[in-house]
Amino acid sequence: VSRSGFFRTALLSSLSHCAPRFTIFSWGVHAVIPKAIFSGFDEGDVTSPSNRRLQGEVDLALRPKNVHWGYFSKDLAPVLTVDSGAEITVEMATHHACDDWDKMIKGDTGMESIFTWSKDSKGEGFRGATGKGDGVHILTGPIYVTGAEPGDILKVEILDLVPRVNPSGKTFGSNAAAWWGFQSRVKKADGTAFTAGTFTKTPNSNDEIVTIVSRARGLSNIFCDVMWFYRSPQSTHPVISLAFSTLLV
Amino acid sequence: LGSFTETDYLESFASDPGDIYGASDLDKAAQNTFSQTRKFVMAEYGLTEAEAWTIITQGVDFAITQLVDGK
Repeated sequence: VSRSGFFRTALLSSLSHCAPRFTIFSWGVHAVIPKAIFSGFDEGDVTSPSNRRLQGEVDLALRPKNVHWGYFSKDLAPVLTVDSGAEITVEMATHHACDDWDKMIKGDTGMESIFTWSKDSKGEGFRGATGKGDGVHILTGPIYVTGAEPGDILKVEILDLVPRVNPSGKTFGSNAAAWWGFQSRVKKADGTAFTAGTFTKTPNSNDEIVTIVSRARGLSNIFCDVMWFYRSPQSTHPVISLAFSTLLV
Repeated sequence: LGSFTETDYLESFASDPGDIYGASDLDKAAQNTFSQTRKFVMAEYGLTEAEAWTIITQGVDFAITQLVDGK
């Protein structure tokens, strides 16, 4: 087996068994919020034809107004209110899409509306707990369930997951082998310490490997095909170099 | 657990190999296991270290056995 052949074969065989576990795609989710499991609740007037998703309709599209990035807060206003038992379709994004802008963001109106951040334009206006870019995960919502009260337990069923496709009709994902993995505790093969940017006081060196994969369909299964991989570069803050002092205060 | 705490415990505890029972350590075993896996994948298939990391994130799971009594 050639070197590249093995690399590919091994990834395929592992991903075909556990793709969702480690490889991160942007997904749309079709969920049902069942009848509340607490008593004394009237189901109410639920109108959610089951064929809506097939018609391409979504209840929450990827737009800055529908997502928040990098934090939870009970003070966020709901972006959608549904009755208990409603079926809804929600679009979701992963911040890892930025690992390959051209494959996972470019030309996708929803993704671009969130991710765009230059010195002139910032799609999602508040990123992270401080709003200055220190957040990670993109969350769609919150969704308010009519009648739910503090202390109630909500049950949500995931009915279907559909990978997001880019304008060319393809789905890509990203895998990170980075400092938050266990390997950062182990010396590298050459005996030197694993570097992880400021976390290991090595601000100019980061042993973080990103692998971009495409979702492909085999004869009997879905798998991921390795497109390319690279050592994560030091990121550049789109504004910070221009106004370093004001943003860090 | 004892077997992986040291790369070769018979060498590390040459005077009394039984000392491994008192020296077994989950953190050391996990780190050594990762290190040995990386070494094997790189040597056997001629991969770079970065490729080995990626393969391990995707395709390797580690399990813990023999927590009670050495074999």
